[in-house]
Amino acid sequence: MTEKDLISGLKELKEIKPRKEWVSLTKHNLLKQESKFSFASIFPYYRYALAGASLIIFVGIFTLSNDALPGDILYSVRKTAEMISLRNSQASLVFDIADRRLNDLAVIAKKDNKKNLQPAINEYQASVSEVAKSLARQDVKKVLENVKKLEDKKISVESLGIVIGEDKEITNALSEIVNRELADLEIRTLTEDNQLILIKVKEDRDAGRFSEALEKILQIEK
Amino acid sequence: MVNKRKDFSKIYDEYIDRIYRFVYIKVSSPQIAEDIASEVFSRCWEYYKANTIDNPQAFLYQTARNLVVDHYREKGRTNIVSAEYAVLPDPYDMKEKAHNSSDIAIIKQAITKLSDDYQEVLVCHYIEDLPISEIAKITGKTEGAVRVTLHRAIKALREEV
Repeated sequence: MTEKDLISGLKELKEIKPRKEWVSLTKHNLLKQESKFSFASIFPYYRYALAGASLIIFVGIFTLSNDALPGDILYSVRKTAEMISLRNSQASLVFDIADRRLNDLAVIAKKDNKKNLQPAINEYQASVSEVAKSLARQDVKKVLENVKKLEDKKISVESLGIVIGEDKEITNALSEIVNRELADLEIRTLTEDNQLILIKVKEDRDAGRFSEALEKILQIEK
Repeated sequence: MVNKRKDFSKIYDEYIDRIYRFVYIKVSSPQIAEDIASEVFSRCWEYYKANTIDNPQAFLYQTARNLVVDHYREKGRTNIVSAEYAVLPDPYDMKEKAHNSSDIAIIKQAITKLSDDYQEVLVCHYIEDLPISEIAKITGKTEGAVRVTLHRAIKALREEV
């Protein structure tokens, strides 16, 4: 075979081609994962600016909402932020929220802001409802601490001229805790001193003095 | 990314046949050629997504070369040319010209017996019509070295045929 024949023969090998279906399938498989439309894919450089701007706006709104009072436009944002943190934190946070509601009421009283008064009272009562639900999950010592703080704050707010009324839900929750603890103590063997304290616990319970009853329960359990 | 997909799609369409053929002549198996060719473009696409490729042709052929070398390293060089390839028509759409069919089959068989360097320059220059300068980029040799290799390759092929 001459060199010319060889070269001519080599050129004939151009006829070697892959299967058409393999060619299509391979291309499809290679590129299929990239076919999703996204704003970022079309504007790749803008996504960083967009993310940055979104973060600034997001942080700005939440910062501005920190001072929003019940009845204000941004109050819902503040409440949402509080609810988000509520789900992710421990039960004592509900007391913090109720405490903040009392602070809001104090601000309203000082500014003599009648427009926000009723919404603020409503919000406080809603927060008290959450406090009441959380009480059963806490130990007696923590319950007492938080209830006492809330009670003291409530008294100071009411001294500014705002009538809040009784926190019946917290009272009911405390009653249940006292009864629960009493049931436990009655089946235990107690010293004579503790037996006397137990009698006083029952007297406080019957008189509706639940915080005092819990304080005595703590004495027994020391 | 949308533009990159478009660009890569064009690269794929332009070179898929050539890369497949380049690999097939070296490995003599359609299935292996498909596997290796797929891998070549997969690697190219992965690289292309994050970088620019100035010379896609050189990139693809270099990748194909490397993968064929890996294939032989893994499998052990087997220079089997089965009778079906020598005698029967190519299963992948190779046009058969009656007066040349046996010559083509013989040449195809003979090429596989040559060294990798010789195979490459023959395939790239005579089958894929690549200029000497481009082959130099793919193989990493000087243009002068490519010319010498090409001359020696043709001579070696004549001896095999």
